[in-house]
Amino acid sequence: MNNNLDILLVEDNPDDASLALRVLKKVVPRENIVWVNDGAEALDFMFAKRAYADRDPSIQPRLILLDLKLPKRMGVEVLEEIKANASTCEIPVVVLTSSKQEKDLAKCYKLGANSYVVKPIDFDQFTEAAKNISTYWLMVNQVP
Amino acid sequence: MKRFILFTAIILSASHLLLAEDDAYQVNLPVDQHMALCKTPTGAITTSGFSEYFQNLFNTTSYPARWSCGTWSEFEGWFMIVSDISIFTAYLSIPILLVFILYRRKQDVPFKKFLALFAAFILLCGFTHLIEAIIFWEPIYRFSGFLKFVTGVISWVTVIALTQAIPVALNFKSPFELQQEIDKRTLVEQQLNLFIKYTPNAVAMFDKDMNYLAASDRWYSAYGTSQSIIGTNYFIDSNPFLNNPSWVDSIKLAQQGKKVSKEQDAIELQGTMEYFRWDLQPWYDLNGDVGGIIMFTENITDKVVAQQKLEEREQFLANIFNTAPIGIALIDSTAKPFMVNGRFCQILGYSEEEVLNNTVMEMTHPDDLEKSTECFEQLKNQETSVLSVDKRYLRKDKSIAHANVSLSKIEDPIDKSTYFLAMVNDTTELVLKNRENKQQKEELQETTAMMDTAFKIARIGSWELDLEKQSVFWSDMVYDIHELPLNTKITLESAINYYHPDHAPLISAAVNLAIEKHEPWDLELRLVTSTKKDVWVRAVGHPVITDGKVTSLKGLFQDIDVKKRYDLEIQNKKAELEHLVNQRTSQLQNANKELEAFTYSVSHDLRAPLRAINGFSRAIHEDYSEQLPDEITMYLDRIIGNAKKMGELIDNLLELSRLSRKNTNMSQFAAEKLIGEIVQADPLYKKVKFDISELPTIHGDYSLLGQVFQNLISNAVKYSSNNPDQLVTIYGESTDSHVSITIQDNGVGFSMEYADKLFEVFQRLHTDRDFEGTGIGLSICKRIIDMHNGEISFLSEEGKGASFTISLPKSEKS
Repeated sequence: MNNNLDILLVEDNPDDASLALRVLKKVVPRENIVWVNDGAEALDFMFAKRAYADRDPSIQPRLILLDLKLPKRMGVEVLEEIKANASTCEIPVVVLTSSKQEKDLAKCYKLGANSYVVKPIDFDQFTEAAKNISTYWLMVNQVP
Repeated sequence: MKRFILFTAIILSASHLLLAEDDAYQVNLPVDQHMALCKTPTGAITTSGFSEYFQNLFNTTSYPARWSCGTWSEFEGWFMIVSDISIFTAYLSIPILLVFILYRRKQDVPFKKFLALFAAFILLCGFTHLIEAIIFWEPIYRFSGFLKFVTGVISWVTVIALTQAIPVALNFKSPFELQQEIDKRTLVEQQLNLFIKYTPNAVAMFDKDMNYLAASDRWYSAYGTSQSIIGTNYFIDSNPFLNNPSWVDSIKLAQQGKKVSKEQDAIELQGTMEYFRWDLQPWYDLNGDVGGIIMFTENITDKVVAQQKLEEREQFLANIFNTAPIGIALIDSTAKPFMVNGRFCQILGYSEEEVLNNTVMEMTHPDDLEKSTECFEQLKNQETSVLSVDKRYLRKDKSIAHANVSLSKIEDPIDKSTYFLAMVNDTTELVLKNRENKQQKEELQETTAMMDTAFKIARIGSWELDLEKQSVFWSDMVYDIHELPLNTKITLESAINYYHPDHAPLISAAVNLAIEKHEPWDLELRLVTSTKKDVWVRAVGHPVITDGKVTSLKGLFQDIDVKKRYDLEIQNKKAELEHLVNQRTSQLQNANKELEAFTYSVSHDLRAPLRAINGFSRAIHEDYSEQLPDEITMYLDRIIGNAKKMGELIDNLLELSRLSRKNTNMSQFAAEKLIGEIVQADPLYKKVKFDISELPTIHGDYSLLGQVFQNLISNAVKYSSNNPDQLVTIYGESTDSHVSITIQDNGVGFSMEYADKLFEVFQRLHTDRDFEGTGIGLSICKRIIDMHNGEISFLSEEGKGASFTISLPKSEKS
């Protein structure tokens, strides 16, 4: 396992994931990005359970990009657990979603999401947005 | 003293005259005897004439000394000489004594000139005797003669003076007479003192320095002093009168010789006002100067207070008379009032002067004149002493005053004349009220009749249950509702039994509750009439409470069958309707939920493939554009464009559907600020010329209205973009209830022919080739303005631009 973990991407849609990775690897090396398919897997990874039981839980991503609509465990539940746990609550979580549903937005901020980005259909816009988010949270923002 | 001196002088003069005669005799005798014995000395001079005489006054040559003339024994000679000298010394002493008296008594000596004359006379007599002695040795006869001449002259002058003093001397009183005079005067003085002492007034006499000379007993008792004040001064600190400057001034005036007095004067004594009658008079001494003053004071406080009280009492009685709420008049035998109070004039409606110049009869209503005159005559003829009559007066303004008049006969205690006392009570209001009451009674009867009719139409009856007599009263209508013949005997039980078995317990309970807890009832119940007809009635009742106990029950009874059946029917219909509404509502709610799920799914699931299409197309474009033929690159661009457009469609549709679920967040804000923000936010607008005039304050949801303006401005810019002089004008207007904002462009416009399609979803008046768009923007605007209870309208002409106006109520209330 790579010790330089930068981004955890939680995305069930392989198309979106592949497009996101295409952009993100322009900001950080590809090997520093971990991509998981659903909420359950994301939590397993974060807390080193089941498939990720042999992972060193002290190594945590510096940024989590979290899709809201996920199989098994919804993005909101993942966010809730990450923010409830003392060891992970300080990791910035940026919520990525194709929905503009305001209910989700309010709930995410309440749970402690650091940012909220609607995935634009326009690829250029998406590229720009993904780049900006990663750059901001990885380069500019200082974790306390 | 005067008398003593005069007597002495007379006695001495007389004795001297005798002595002088003796002397002359003695002298003359030896001369005759010495004629032979005396030898005239040689060189004697004889004188004839005054000048010669006086030139030789002390010449002694002509005469011998006496010792030498005649024969003198030592004893004879010295007897004569000693006697003469003793007379001389005595005569010398008397004037010295007189001078001594004069010196000591100084002024108080009467007859001063006479005394001096007398002293000179005695002194001269003395000196003649001294010369007689000297002549024994020195014969100075000529000088002796001269001295005797002088003595003679002075003696005669004294005699003449005495003669003139005789009448004065005769008038001198004797000591006895003087004593008598003194006694008489003492008596008068005592009488005067007693007179002052017992004067029944406070009188005091003062000298010019205001020291007490005398005072009456009344004075002492009035001011709490005693005789010991005589001789003391009036101006002492403890004298309370002196605190009144006017009093002190009055005393000063009297001291200057003026007579001052006052019949009534308020003087403050030790903090209380007292009233005095006083009189200050100056008195004069023998020289006519002011010797002091005589003060008379009389404390008339009691009198004044009594007088004041009397006046107050009189005023009080006059006030009672004047302000009495009853008219009072004193009338003479010709029925003419001579003293009236205000109320009397008020009732009669004349001024006091007018009342006093008319007779009562002239002010009486003509119809009551006979009655009034008769009454007055009866009283005059002593047929009765008191009379009461109801009559009318005719006022000056011709209105009528009703009054009750009591008349009584009075005899004047002084001149015994007879007059009449009239007490007049205004009953106008009472009479009018009685009339009104009568009218009201009639109206009431009318109303009652109307109510009866109304009750009949409304089928309302009344009933009463007397709990003490256990009797029941029903009005005709109640019998009618029960379908019972009138006057059928009814008890509480039988009445309750007419109710439907389901409702009888209800009315029983209501009756019991009214009796026990004093609670009224108003119930709608089913009744079964005597013909077994089932009707709805309204039963209303309340307890009548006397001394805390229910004595009877009273109430109304109404046939409400028709109305009740309608009500029941309506109720049933209402319930049915409600059920239907609930059903529809839950169906709608389900549909809504489904729609929500659908839109959520649309937003997520429809967008994902579009993102993939768009994303991968771009990936190809980016990564392989150099290897692809131009045609494929163009196709890729079309794919990307369409995917983007579909994304926009989805976004707009979601927006539209979400509006229906959104709550508005109303506030008051400046439209100018909102529109300014929109115009400045979009970089595309920088090239466009905007003309924005002053805009009103609007009431609404800031972000929703922002969306509206965003859409309208964006449309205006979009559809005027082909005009080289592109101009977007924004202006506002305000009325009492609404504000409106218009956004106008000078673009392509549209034909009003298609106006009805403008706000429909997906409806467009232009092709995408000319102007891109989804056809949803204006629908969203319309929906938002509807949510604000506002209106959106437009005006356009093809090729001449378009204007959209939104109008909003000023506040939500209006």
